[in-house]
Amino acid sequence: MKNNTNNIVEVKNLSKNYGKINAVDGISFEVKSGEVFGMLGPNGAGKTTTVEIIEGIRQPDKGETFINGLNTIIDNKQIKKIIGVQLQQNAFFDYLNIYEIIDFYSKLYGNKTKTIDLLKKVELIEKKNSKYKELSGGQKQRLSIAIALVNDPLVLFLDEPTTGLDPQARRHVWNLIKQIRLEGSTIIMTTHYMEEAEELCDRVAIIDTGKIVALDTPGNLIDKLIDKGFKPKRTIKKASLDDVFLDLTGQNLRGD
Amino acid sequence: MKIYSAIILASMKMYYRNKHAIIWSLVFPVTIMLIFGMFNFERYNPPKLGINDLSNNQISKDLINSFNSFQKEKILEIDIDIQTNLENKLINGDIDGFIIIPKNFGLKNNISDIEVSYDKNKIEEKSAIKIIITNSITDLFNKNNRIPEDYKIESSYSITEKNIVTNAQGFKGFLVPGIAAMAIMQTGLFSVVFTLIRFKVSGVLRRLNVTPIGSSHFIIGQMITRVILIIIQTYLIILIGIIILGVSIGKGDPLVWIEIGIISLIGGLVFLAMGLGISGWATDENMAAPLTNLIALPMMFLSGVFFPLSVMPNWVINIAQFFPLTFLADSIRSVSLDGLSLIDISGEILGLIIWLFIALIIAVKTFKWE
Repeated sequence: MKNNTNNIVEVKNLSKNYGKINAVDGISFEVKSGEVFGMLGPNGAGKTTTVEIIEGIRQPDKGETFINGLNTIIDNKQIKKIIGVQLQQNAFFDYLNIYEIIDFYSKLYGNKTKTIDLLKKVELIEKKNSKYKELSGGQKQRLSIAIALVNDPLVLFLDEPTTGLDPQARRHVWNLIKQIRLEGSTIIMTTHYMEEAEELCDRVAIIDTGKIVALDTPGNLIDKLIDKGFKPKRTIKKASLDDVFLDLTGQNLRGD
Repeated sequence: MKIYSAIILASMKMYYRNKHAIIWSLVFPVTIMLIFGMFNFERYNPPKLGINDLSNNQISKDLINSFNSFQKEKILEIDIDIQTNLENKLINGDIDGFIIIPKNFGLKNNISDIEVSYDKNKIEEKSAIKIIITNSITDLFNKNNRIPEDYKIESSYSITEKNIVTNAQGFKGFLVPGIAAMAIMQTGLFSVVFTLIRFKVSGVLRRLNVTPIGSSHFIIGQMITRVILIIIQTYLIILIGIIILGVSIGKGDPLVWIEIGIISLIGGLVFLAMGLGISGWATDENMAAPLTNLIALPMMFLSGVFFPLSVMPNWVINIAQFFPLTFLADSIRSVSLDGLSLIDISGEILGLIIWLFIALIIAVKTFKWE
């Protein structure tokens, strides 16, 4: 087992088939400690399957993955203690309030964090007595990020953290992810929003039909494209429609 | 251990806040128990009168003939026996009262004392028997054609009444342990099936699988919570039976409460394991609901909850005697009414344990996480 101190996550030649479909087809990459690593790709490209194999909740057909030198399959239980996971579809208990839900998950890891601190971090302190179903989409995502942080994880997995959110709620989640990154966590995230990857990720892997088709920093990927002589179909303005929308409706969250 | 206490505490909170679950596990069985208990459905049967005829003369035979005519009209049932047997029968609830016809009954120049004993708790039976006895004797002594003139004029009688405290609790005593058993089945099956399927469908179990404890420990924690709740629920139902319906439990022996707790624990585990099997096999509520009802409904009516198994056709008895609810209802009834110990009912307990193993094997074999 090779434990390169610089690479906290190592993925080696991963494959997973569902029937005749190669959901993951020989994927290998490394994630450096402290970086935000993005996995981009269209729906059904194999992002979630890859992430779930690394998290240890799916078995690969071939290949192996390591987190902090631990084999995901052999040291499954140890791995689960050091990772934080936000699944693409989240569900929590109906009859507990937000505080109780976070506190419950915190107890499962032996109370490594204070529930109140987590609620403050994800700005849900005012909602602590609400039920999960009473939260807005952005609040639900922030709750599931808070729960992913209860064990102060070495590696945080975020699977499409902003899918379905409005621009304000999305910026709010982005700010939260940036803050977590500043505190030194390694983050592996999937998304199909390019501007999200550009905003947050140090490096991105672009995945299509189960294979990595490109892996580099967002800046390098754009430079390579331009080097190939790429001409945008329309001229890039200094602001996007997203910026117009946020300028008109405000950066701040409203009731979110 | 700390993790289990966290799971159990959270499960308790969830259960307490789920009003449907509380209604199913407590309000529903208690309501049924009170409705059936208040209406006293036992009154389908005529009162049973024991007779001990010490005089054995023509007059006493005439009196018994008069009781016989009531029996033909199905107003009364009679049982002729000796006094000690009748006393035992009254105490065990086999008869509702008995009459002792004295040696000097109807004899010339005699005032015969007729002794009638009643079950203290059976007020309706008592008044029915009393009316029948008084009318029959009055008729007998006023009848000109059958009673010789001598007797009629010079013989007289008095009636001494005795109210005996018995173990017989009638229908209410039968009903309360049956309802407690039925409620164990309901909570065991329904609370587990629908909660676990909701957790499975919504993805709660999947989320727990990415934590170090995994969802299996969470499910075990849920089961422990349900068993604790089932024991508390059984105690509450029996207490309500004692307070409102006036039944008495275990002939005053406090040990009976421990025995009831142990039986509820075993019975609870049987139905929880069945519930686990159903929720593991089914992928959603639509698959689980019919199967759960298919298991629960026949047992509710055929396992001796509301009326004894013995009133049913033989072929039903042959099958229903092996139902887990039959074992459970019989066990609770035996310790709480007849004062039997757990060793006396080891057959029923064994039956429950066999069911527990069957249910666990099915649950393990059929469980699907997603």
